Amino acid sequence: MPPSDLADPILATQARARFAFQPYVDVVLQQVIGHEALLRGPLGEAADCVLGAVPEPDRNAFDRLLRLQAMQKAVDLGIVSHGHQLSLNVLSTAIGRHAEGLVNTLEAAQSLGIPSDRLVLEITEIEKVADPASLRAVLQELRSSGFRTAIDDMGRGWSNLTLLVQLQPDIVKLDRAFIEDIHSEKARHTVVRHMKGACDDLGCAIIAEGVEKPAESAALRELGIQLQQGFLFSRPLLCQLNLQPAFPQYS
Amino acid sequence: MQDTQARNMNDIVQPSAFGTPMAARETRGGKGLHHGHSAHAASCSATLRSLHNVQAGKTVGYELVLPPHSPTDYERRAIAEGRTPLSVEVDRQVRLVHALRANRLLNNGLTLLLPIRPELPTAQQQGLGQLLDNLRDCALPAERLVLQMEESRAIADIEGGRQLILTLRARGYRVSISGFGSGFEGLRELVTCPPDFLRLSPELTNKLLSDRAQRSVVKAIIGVARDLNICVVADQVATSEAANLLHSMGVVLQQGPQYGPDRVLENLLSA
Repeated sequence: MPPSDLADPILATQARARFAFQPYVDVVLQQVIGHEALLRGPLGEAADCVLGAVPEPDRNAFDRLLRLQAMQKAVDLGIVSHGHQLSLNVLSTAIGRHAEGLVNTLEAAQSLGIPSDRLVLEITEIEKVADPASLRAVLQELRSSGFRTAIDDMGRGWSNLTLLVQLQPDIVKLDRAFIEDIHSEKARHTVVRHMKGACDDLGCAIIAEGVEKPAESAALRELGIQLQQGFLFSRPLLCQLNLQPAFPQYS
Repeated sequence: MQDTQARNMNDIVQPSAFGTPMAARETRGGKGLHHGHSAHAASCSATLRSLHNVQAGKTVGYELVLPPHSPTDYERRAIAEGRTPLSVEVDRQVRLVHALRANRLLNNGLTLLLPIRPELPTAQQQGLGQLLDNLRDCALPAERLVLQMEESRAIADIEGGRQLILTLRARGYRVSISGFGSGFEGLRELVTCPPDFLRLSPELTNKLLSDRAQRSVVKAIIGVARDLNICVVADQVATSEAANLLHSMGVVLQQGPQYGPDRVLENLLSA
């Protein structure tokens, strides 16, 4: 469905949508690697509030428009000149049944001057992947074009271990449920340690999500997970890139 | 409680813990049981799948496999009499357990893996009480019953599932998550309320011999389970090569065609 086929109220919703950007960092190099674009409502409301206003049949076309909007905003904020990555959330159906929308996204990225290796497409966990084989084929094609792929919120929702085997993305973003108090919670530490081993075997980088405490960051660093994202470094900032997030001092 | 549970798990994993399994000897001529399928059995269609300890080389328990629920005449009558779906479902399982005991299938300390649907008891307080009452009616020692939840079902309500597992454990039952790795929030469940058993999803093991990615992920799951004192069970093991590979990776408990066909129960509900 071309964008113009969306009903006026939906286009109005899209026009009011805004984006917050949250950096993910390398704690060893102490530098920003990229920014995740997070959908927000006009008053900063969570993404669910915005998406909930869009009927399901229009969701993918709406999602595609939002990706274009996020890329344009990130470019306006100078993401290309800073050499940072841009992570966009993508519904798995947008890659499977609506692959043309994704091609459209990638073409737009090129026309905006975003180098292919700096665009990360994060598969979200809210839907069960209906056809992992075709999804994997599309992802492999994307990777051969230089784009990076990620599984978002691994361990939460339908982002399960079978999906990891089937997709073998460039990046696995570990859900915050495993990160909270990892320095003192044995079960979480155990899961993350073994996930690191599996991801190393598969050649997937890990980004730890939801890092809020210096002790959590230190424990992750000890496990070899140096890519991290969370309030410890920066909250998502509405319509801004945080180029100087806070880094903890490790003993 | 934890020490008791650890001992009980060792009872299943350790090769020396059981005497001669009676399953093969008793079931072949056993009343109401046979190998393979039959039109008559389809009316019941519950099956028994053996739980094999590859280290000991013998059956140490059975899984009661129930098809997607299709009410028998008995159950239709019960529902018509105003009983809840949970009550009817658990009652059906209790009847099966009694039938298994009558057929001496659960003699010799064999363990039974019994499927439960956690959303039923957690959805209504009264349901949990019914479940516990019915499990008591099984007249099988709690340590020999492993209550099994599908990953996709167990985790939909994290807090409800956690409470259910804690309640069941407090009564001495052990809990298993099946289909681990291909459902909803299974990995998260391990850190929220680890089960006693974790049954690997066949989707993670069906190409284990040739798929390096499957081996890497299964190795990680086995590592997590070992560190958290959880027993891993492999299901749908079809060849001796797959069985040996899983064993070499540390999976002692296995199920599947490699250990014989599922046994179809017939007529047990029509009594």
